[in-house]
Amino acid sequence: MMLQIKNIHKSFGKNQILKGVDVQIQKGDVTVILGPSGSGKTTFLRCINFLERADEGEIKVDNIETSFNKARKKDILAIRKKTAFVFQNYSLFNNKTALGNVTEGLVVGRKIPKAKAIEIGKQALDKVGLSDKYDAYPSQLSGGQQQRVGIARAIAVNPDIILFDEPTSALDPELVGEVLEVMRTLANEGKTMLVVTHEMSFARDVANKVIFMDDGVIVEEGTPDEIFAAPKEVRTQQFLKRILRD
Amino acid sequence: MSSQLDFEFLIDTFFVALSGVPIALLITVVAMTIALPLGFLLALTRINRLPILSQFSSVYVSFVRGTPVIVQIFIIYNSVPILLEEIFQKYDVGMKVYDVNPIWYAFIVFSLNTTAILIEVFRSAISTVSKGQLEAAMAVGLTTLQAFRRIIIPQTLVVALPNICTATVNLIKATSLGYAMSLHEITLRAQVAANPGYNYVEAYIDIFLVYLIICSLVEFLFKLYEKRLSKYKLVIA
Repeated sequence: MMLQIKNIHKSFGKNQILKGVDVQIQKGDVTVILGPSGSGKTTFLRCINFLERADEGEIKVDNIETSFNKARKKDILAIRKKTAFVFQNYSLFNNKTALGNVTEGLVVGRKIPKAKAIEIGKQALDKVGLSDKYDAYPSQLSGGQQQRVGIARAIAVNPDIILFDEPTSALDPELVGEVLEVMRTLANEGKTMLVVTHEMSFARDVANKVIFMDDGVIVEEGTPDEIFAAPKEVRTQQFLKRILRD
Repeated sequence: MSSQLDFEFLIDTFFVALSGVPIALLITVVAMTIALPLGFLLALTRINRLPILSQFSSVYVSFVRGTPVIVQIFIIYNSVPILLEEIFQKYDVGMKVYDVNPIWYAFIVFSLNTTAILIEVFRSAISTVSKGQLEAAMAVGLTTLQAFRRIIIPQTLVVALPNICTATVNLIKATSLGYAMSLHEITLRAQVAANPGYNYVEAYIDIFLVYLIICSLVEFLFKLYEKRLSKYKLVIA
């Protein structure tokens, strides 16, 4: 088991966002989380990486096991080093070049010698098709290129699992394809991925598991075929009908 | 009093005024060295709404901003010696309060004053760096300290630099008020030189020029530094 989440709860003030979600992810799984906005998908993802502190529940990443409310700094840092996060709005370090963005977590976070880090960083950028942009600053890159740097930054640290938070939602439509293409390649290479997205084609073609969330709980989960061809729950059916009509 | 400018005196006194520059710069450097980190930390307490410290910073800023520097100087210059005298007596320090070089009072006043100004400078600068930058740093496995050192502070500095420059130049100019504590800085030196012959106009022209030269130089250096720091911003897609 690569990642196991048990009974996660999270509230913001009086708003209960997550009401007991369990997820298990095996090595090599590509899991897509679908759901209407406000259903708690992004919060769920952010809690895994402790960008939000969940109120209750347990997490196990590889051999690190802890509970959300008791996890100490050391555990959190260890979990963050085993996971990588791709942000909706890229969140590239504005003061670093593309290569600097990718090597930061290696050199500073993981104390990998600089020369080695640069080698790994260049490989990661090559992989996302940005061999000619090593020295470009985020302000010089298009949205699609920035998000590909974001993905390179995630794969460079060789994480057990990559968390994608709506990686294409902030992109112009014509730039979505290049990012999905990179994600498709990673999936084919057997990378373990947990993806929150509204890209139905990606969910259908690339994922091997689809989770439908609504109102802080998992309504239904299954293979893409099960979810898309024969959803059992009414809420899933309604959601898919709305989305797929567009 | 002559109606003509005494050029010889003008030139001589220019160098007298110039000899006060090291003191003005020393005060500036000391005040900045203390105020930069302190201002940054207190700005963080305000942004993160830390209890007590945040309120303290807020009140502190109001006090300093709401009073003239000259009044702050009078208060420190007149109250600290009384405090010191008691301490000296209590611990039997064989030192007289009036032996204390007034530059120490200047260090105190200008550090306190500049800290307040920089709290506000950093508060606005830090809030321009998006929360995503810190989150991304955390996500790639940096500790909070590393994230600040590598990602947040460099970006904050670029935004804050023009205002830090203004604060520095204001500070250099404000050291002229040091004459009120009989500090032998630029203004006092030139004025003393003017006393015997009543050549005040010449002396003030010299003082004017000396401040103008130093401040322009400092501004120029800041511009260079800003250009270097913000290279990631100047590039055009």
